[in-house]
Amino acid sequence: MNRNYNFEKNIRNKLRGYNPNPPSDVWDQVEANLHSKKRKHWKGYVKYAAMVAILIISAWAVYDFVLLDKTSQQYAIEESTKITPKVESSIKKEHPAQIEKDIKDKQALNKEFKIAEHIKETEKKHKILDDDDEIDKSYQTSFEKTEIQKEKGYQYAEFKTKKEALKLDTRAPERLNVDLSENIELANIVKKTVAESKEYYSLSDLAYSDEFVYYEEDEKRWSFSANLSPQYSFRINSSNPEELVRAKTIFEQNEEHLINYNFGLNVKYNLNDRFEIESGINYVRMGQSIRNIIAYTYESPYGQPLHDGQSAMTSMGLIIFNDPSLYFVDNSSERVKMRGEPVDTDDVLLETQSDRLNQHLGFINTPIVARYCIYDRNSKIQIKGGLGFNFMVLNNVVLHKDDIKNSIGHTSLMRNWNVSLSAGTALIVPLGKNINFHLEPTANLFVTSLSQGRSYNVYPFGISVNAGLSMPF
Amino acid sequence: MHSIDSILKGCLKNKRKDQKLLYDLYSPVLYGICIRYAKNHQDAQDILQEGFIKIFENLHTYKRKGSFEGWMKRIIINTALKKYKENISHLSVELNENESEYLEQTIYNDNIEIHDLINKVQNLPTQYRIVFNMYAIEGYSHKEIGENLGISETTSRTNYLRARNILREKLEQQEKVFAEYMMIR
Repeated sequence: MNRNYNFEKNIRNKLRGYNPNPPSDVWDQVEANLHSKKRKHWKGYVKYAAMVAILIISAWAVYDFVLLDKTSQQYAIEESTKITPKVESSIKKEHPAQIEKDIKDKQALNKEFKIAEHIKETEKKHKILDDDDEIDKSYQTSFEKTEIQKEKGYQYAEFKTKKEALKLDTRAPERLNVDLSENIELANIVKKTVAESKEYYSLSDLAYSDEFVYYEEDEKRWSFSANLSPQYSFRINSSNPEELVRAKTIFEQNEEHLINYNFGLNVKYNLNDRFEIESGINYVRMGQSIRNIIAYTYESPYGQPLHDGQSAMTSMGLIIFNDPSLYFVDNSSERVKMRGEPVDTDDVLLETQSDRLNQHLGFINTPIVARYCIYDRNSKIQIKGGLGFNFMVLNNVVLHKDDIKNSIGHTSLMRNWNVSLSAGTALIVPLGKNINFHLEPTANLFVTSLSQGRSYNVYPFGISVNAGLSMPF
Repeated sequence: MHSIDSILKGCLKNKRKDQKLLYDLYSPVLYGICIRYAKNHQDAQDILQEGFIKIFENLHTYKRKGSFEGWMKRIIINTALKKYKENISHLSVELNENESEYLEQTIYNDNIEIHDLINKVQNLPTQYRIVFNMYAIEGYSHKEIGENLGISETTSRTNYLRARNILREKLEQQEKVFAEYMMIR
């Protein structure tokens, strides 16, 4: 019974004496809930952030759908005249003649539209006044009509192209001179058409000829991008053996995230309208902040260093301290170890330096990422995911005091290369003909444990919002 | 140096500075209680937050008879009990023969680390954890615990004994492995 009493007494004394300081944000929340709620906690701003995000997305959608009306019309026409293999085969089976005619009509419409567009571009380029705004508008509108209205649209197109052809005819000499130097493709078409028909010609006729293949531009499938982002980095601990729960608890209580950064250069290849693959080279900084290991400078009465070397266990690995002029003390658990016999520091004058250690790890990351386009109008939205191979190129531990940083060691028991998974989305907004702006919220998670030679697994991760530019070539 | 009386007066006038002083003064003690009653640190923070709001809002009901710290502790414990009350089972549980024997073999262990202990207490089933805290730490009798939780005195006693056996077994096992782990150099 006495043994039981001692066990209870021991536990009672320990638990009653356990008076830890709560996290600082608890007071923030208490204060926020009291009375006038003068100060709102950051969570209170989440709804406002969400509202701002909705407003931004709505504005962007309006811009993309409404203000860029011409683009959407063009998009609608291209979509309506697109002939998929599936449609083509089913039509050929059921209504071969009708469908063949339909396909030709669609192709003709598409070509005519492109011719008209090209003429407009040429006029703009040479500052030729366009007094046909009304016709132009009805012409474009007609192309948006449904299948039933396409015939009417075709008539408009024919009228328009004939009219344009007539205009071209009357101005042919000066146009030819200019176009030959600045727009060789169109000039060649016009020159050829003029040569074939001396009295009257129509670009709509030209639309049915094979000559128009000149007009097709080669699509640029490659693009090059550069990106940069701040990065929230931390790690996931996995201590499956229940016996290591205590170690995990200590690490969880004394380790915090770090804000780092990443940047890189990547190349993408456009497989088709939807899919892209990407690879490149990136520098990714990860790590964590260690709390409650205090660094001291000291004056030893023994005239010799207090230790032959110290180390500290962290979830990411064993920190090996390399500065004998510093003495480290863990004031929350037993993470700091010392070579040789422990020293009695009662007679030693210790001066606190800092209680903030940052473990920094730098990786060269080579990703293989697949991108799938889920929205493609003026801007694009993609989802992306892939693998990354990470080679460690930086490993140091930094002591922070005020604004001064000193490298005071490195972390051991870590694997030098790791595999990571990444996933995210990308918003791509064209800034010009050959340049796009990217905004890409991305998450990276190491899937191989960073720890080596330990029965304790740790998986670093980073969350970033990459901003960058890309250029097709 | 502020006296507790002046701090309480300030709190009664809703002065934020005095509320913060009171919080700074007592939050470690009360957070220690929250951690023991909660199943994890997040829950403990929620209990502390809710408890302190109750303390500030009900400060005018404190009659200054008895310990102020004791009054605050009761509010915190009641907040914790309210949070977990729906997890309390009213069914009586009997000890089996092995458990009774094991209890008698409990040994004195002076090397228990506080983090181990907290972790293991938090991992006890909710009902065991609450009964263990109320009996072993706060010093309530099983009769009082039964009245507070709406369970029988026997159930309270059985819950406590099981909690103690689980704790002892886990602590012994973990201490051994952890000592080996931290020796990696």
